[in-house]
Amino acid sequence: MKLYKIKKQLLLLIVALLPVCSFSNTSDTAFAQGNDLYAKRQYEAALKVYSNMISRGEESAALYYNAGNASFKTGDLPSALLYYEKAKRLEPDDADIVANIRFANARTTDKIEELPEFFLSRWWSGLITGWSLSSLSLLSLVFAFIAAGLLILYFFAHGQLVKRIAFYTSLLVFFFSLFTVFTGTSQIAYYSSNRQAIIFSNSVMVKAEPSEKGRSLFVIHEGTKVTLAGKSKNWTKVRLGNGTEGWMKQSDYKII
Amino acid sequence: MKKFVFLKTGKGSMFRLNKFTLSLTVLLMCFSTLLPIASLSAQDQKFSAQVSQTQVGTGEAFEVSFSIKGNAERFSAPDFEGFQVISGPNVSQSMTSINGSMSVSSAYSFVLVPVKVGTYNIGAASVFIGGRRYTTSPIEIKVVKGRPVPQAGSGNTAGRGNETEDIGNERLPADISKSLFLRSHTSKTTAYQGEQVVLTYKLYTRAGIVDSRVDKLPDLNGFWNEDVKPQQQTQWRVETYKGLKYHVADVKKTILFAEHSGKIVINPFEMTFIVRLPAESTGDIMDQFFGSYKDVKYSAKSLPIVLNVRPLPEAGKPAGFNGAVGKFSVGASLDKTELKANETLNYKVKIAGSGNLKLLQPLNINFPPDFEKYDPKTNDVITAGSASVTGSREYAYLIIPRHQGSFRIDPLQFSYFNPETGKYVELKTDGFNVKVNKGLAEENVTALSSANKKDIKILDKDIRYIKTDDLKLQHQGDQFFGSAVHIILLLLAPALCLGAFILRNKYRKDNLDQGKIKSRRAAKVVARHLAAAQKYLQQQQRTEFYEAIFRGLYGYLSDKMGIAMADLQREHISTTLKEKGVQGDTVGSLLETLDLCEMARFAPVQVAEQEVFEKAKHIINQIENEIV
Repeated sequence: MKLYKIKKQLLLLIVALLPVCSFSNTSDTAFAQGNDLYAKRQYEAALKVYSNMISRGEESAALYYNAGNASFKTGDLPSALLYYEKAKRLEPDDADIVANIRFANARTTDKIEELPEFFLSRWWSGLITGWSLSSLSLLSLVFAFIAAGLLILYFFAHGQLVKRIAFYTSLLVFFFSLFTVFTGTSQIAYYSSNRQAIIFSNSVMVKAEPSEKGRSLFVIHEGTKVTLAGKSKNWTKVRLGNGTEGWMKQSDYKII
Repeated sequence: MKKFVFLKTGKGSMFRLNKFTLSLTVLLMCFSTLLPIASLSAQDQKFSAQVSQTQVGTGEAFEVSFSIKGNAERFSAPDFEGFQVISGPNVSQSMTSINGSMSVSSAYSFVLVPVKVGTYNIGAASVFIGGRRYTTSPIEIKVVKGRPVPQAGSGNTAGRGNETEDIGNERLPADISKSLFLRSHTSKTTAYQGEQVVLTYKLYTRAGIVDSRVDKLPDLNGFWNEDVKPQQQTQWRVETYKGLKYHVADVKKTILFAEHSGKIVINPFEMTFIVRLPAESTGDIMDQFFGSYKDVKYSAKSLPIVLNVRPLPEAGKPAGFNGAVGKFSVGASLDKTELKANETLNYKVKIAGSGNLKLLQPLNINFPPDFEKYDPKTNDVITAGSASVTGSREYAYLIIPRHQGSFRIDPLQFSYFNPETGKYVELKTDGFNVKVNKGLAEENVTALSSANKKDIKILDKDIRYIKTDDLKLQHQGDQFFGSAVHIILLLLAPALCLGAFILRNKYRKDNLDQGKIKSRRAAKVVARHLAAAQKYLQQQQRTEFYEAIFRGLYGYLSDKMGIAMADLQREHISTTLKEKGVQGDTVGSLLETLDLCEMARFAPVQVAEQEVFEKAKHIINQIENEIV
């Protein structure tokens, strides 16, 4: 069992290392079929193909992104945003994904002024969420091996200059490697503590307490992104970008 | 105002006056005897309403007049519901002076045209005379189907000149509307958008006009218009309209260009006249003889007319069509075809003909991009004739070639719509070749003026297109980061370093002990000596053979024990080897062989060389095995 898991992870490594997809051909053809349907403007059908792939347990930034596009074209704004956000988790630095999130957000009803964050914490969250986990793991390995190679060079080299350069560079690269590992772990911690969701109900009354009888604080509409801040039975405490908080039912949103 | 006519000259004037007043006085006296009897009816007589007809056809004008005796105040006219007021209120006043006492009477009259068939009431009018309010009784008017509503006239200017006999002055104010009216007239009832249409305001009259004033001209919404310059003197002509002869004058002429398609209404225009009418005959001989007249103020209004404007046909519309409708010719000229860079060049386009020249949109001329182009000066020479607007428009472009070379100014395409044929016509001017020679200050000028640059027009915004490749599928929830393989691989790097470090240290330690190396290498060295010895053996060179064996063994021992060859003594060899754990037998046979070799170098010995060789090899093997 353990051996199987290690084997699977090795496979993952290969996937991370090789840009060429090592998945089955059926997934490739399904993806191509979905893209063809999209090109023919049959967005509903394309969306069906993409969501089938997703429900089979497959994921990739491109797949989520295309599914988001198809949802957007069929007029399903919250689904589009959910898919886009999922795609962004996998590839945070993809310009297309960022552009389409911005475009789709412009169509949502609620205009939320983001609270001005302290610049250091803004930099920090930008730093730790700016790279995808797979790139980070790949980078960590590459850096580690470069550092090791340089250190070995230092051990065996004869010239004083070469030795010195190799040693300090190795130290630096080793630090890089550690940093990527640290960033990756921080990112995992960040997403697990800042779970976000997209509102799917047309309009949601956000209550002051986790009960229908609670006072209604404000109304938000589909497509708005909220941060989940707490839970009580089937009620969830959510926080908006502008800092306001309230309670809403679990059925009103979908977690990214 | 009723005026008395005095003879300008002659002695009999007073007499005539007296006689006239006398007859009036007699008349009044007769009335005054009746007054006490008819005191009640006197009220009615002070203010009464009359109509010229009680039964009228639709479109036929009739007059309603309210006559007042005495100083009237605050006259208020009734509602003429069901009628169109084409003239009125026309006020006339008369004053009678009888032996110094004045009596005043006035009349308000309206000219009405019924619009629909039916029975209508003209309501009560009211007036205050001497502080008392008087009202008239309503009058019933029966409207029957008549001729269509006529275009009531428009007109202006009084001309009394050569009145022919049969166009006599109408006598009754009720008929002013028939003898004096205004008409608007367009040269066409249907026109294309942009086609020129002549609008004429005409005055028809059979009455004498003392004075006239234009009150209101239509604002001509939906048209661009050009007024035709009026002639110095009003030209009167005789025209027959509905069987009657009229003096007709054109008050004003305007050339219209419809700006949009559809039915465009030209609103009525209004004028006020002072009409000189003969005074109502009193039956007096003097009156009849001398003729008395009164001047009546009369306002007239034309009827609105409708112009049906058709849009320009879309079929066959040329690409560069810029709205020209009419008939044109076009020509282009260039003042020089060879010049130096940075000198000016004048390019002129002249469009001549008749049509909406002033409405032409700017031309689109493609000058070579290296030419600096300035906005053209437009020079219009346009005259509005009585039938059409003709003239020319000239666009003068100032262009400056900035670089040397041969350039071509492409022919200009000009197209217009000819409403007569209903077709578009395309014209083309000449093209020009321009040779630009090297100028003086060429270097400081930018080639392309940035004025030609345009921002990219954003037509629409949409999401970015899907990704068609780069499908890096993975299983949901699978995360390489932090997995066992990832951690193992990460740890592998330091492990490699550690291994390399240990290896390096061991290597370095070995290298530090030079003697050890020699001792390790001793066997190799001796093997080399032995190999040489074997060669000598085969060549039967005995001395050299023993020499090689001797050196080989000595060298070996020297290396192995770390003692220089010169210091190597027999006793020393023996003790040192024994200390290092070599057995006594081996040491003994070693020393024996060494002695043999030393001897054999100088004297022949009875030992087979082969045997010595084998023995030496054996000894070295033994030492290698036994030495610690």
